[in-house]
Amino acid sequence: MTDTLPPLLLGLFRELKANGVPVGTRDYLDGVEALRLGFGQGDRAALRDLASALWGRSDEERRLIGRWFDVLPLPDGVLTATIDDELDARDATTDEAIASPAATTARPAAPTPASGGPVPGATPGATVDTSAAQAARARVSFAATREGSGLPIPRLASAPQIGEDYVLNPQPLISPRDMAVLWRRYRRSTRHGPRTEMDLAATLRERCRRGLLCRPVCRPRRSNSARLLILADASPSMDPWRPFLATLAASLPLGRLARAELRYFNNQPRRQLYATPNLDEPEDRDEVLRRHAGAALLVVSDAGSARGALNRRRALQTADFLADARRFFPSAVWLNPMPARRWAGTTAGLIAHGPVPMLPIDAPNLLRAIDILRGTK
Amino acid sequence: MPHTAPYAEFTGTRSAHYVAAPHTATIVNLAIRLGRPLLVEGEAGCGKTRLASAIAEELGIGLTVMTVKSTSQAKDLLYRFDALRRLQDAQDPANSAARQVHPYIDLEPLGHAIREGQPQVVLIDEVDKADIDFPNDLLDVLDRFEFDIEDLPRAEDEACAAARGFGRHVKGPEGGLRPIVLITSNREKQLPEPFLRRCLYVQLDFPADNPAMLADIVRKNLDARLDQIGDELITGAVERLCRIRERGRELGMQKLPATSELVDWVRVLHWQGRKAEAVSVDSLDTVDQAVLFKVRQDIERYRARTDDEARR
Repeated sequence: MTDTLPPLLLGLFRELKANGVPVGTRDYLDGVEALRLGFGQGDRAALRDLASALWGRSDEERRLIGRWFDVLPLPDGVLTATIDDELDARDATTDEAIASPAATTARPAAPTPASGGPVPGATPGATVDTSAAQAARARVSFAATREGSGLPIPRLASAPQIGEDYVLNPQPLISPRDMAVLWRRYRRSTRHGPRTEMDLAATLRERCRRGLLCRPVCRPRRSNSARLLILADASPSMDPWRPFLATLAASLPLGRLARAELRYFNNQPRRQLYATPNLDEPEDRDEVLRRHAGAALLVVSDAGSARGALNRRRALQTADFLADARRFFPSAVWLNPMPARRWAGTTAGLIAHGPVPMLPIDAPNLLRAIDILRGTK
Repeated sequence: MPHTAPYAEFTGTRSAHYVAAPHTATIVNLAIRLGRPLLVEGEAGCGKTRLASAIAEELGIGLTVMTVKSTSQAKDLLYRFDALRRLQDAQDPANSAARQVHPYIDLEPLGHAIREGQPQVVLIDEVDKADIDFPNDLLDVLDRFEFDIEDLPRAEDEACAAARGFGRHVKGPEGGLRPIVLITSNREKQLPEPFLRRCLYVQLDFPADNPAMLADIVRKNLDARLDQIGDELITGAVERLCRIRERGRELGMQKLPATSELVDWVRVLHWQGRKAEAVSVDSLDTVDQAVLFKVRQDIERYRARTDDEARR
């Protein structure tokens, strides 16, 4: 029965896939099932709502679906109605068995997409009559534009929709949620604090030794003792990555670290570090470093590579700072938001050869950075 | 696989206390027929939680509510292992029950719902309040509607099945029904992508463009309390609330008054014996503000704006 269904919405599904929406085969099959059950019938808006409910999970995805429907050419009502009646009459006489479900689903309000896929209807395995009917239907949906021979004519929406085509969607490097998940990988699980958890093994030992149990033996709960200091560059060259810095700040409290702090500097960590990205509330640098002694250190800065500058003095001073910092921090890593190929010939290139590993910001390197912070690499 | 066909169709209008938009009802039906969980999002006070009771009421089936807390784990919805009671029982050498684990395991509401396979609505309320791992842990259970009791030793599987009616692996009976699962979220935390993909999604919006439906919602809510309130008051209040929301949106308020505030407000107006015409959107009195706005800054902003306009 599924064979006789035209690949409805397949064009939309492909469009979503092409735009990186993570929809899978199961989602598509659910769509086919929903159509078979009678959802999305009626008119084009109903079909669009169905597609949105099934496959749209964010405003952007819903907009994508809406736009796909908007650019579909409208079928010529009189022509399609005539041909549909003709086909229905033929369906009724040729094949009773497939009449009910196939007829309802094969007659959607919206035509098969002009934007993608093989010409539907030429499905193998169907009877000659039905496949002919399907092919005819497919041609009907394409005949909408009524120019030339009825083949699909690529065309744009009649008028660009103001306020729709210029919507800018921020694409964050990483979401706060994913960042929080990364922080959770940075763990040093130890038992400390009040004895609140029952130690079953010790309790049993006690019971065996004394023959009775006065009270259960307790031990401190396991918790994460990993500590982290992040020093982030808030200079103008880092402006494109302000959202990333904000993500860092937002995700830190979710990371369940024993102690984590984010401090900002301008170009390079000089005598003072700041509590906000606008470089307010200065605090003595060494004071901050001493307070976090023994923690891990993460530096986030383009180190001059965003603007391609080479400043030997800055490189030397930064190297001095890093050498200083290594005394307080057993593990340290530098994240540079610029791609690694842009470091050469800039201050970043010089710093990258220093004692602290410098990594670009992408998925594998973020994982590696966490491994370095944990001291496993 | 448990099937879902015998559920009746949800129209959204037959419940005594709830009105669902046709679009919402369609998606609810889609979720029921496809056997997928339904994720409900929307403004606070738009009836996310009450949608579940409306479905249960209209279809005439039971409702199980689980409110998620910040400390909830996915396991807590399925079963609970009472280790403390077992330890206590173990003090008595004559108590042989304590030698086994299964007497101390109890199924929690979602676990029950899965095992029984009876038609019912399961509501997992405020899923975003939990830790970020919670939805991921729940994903597999909601996908297959079966789970393992990990605290139960494999050796006790049969003994547990004989004594308690469920084994280590819990699933619905042959030919049982999948419960209708509703999950609400306030978007406090972002939900994981696979979880979003697995659920069907519906957003409940405040029906500002449909005053008739709003009036209907208010009426249904008030009927439940047997208050005798005239239609004039309701339609007047609905119209004014829409204007207040409009203004609130311009002012960038944090929490716009929604359906639940509207219902409260109509009751307050009724108690005070005021008429809707007597309420001016430009000069809400203290009581109105207290009922409609929930955030101090919102009240101050609104007041500043109305003062501003009055001076002009």
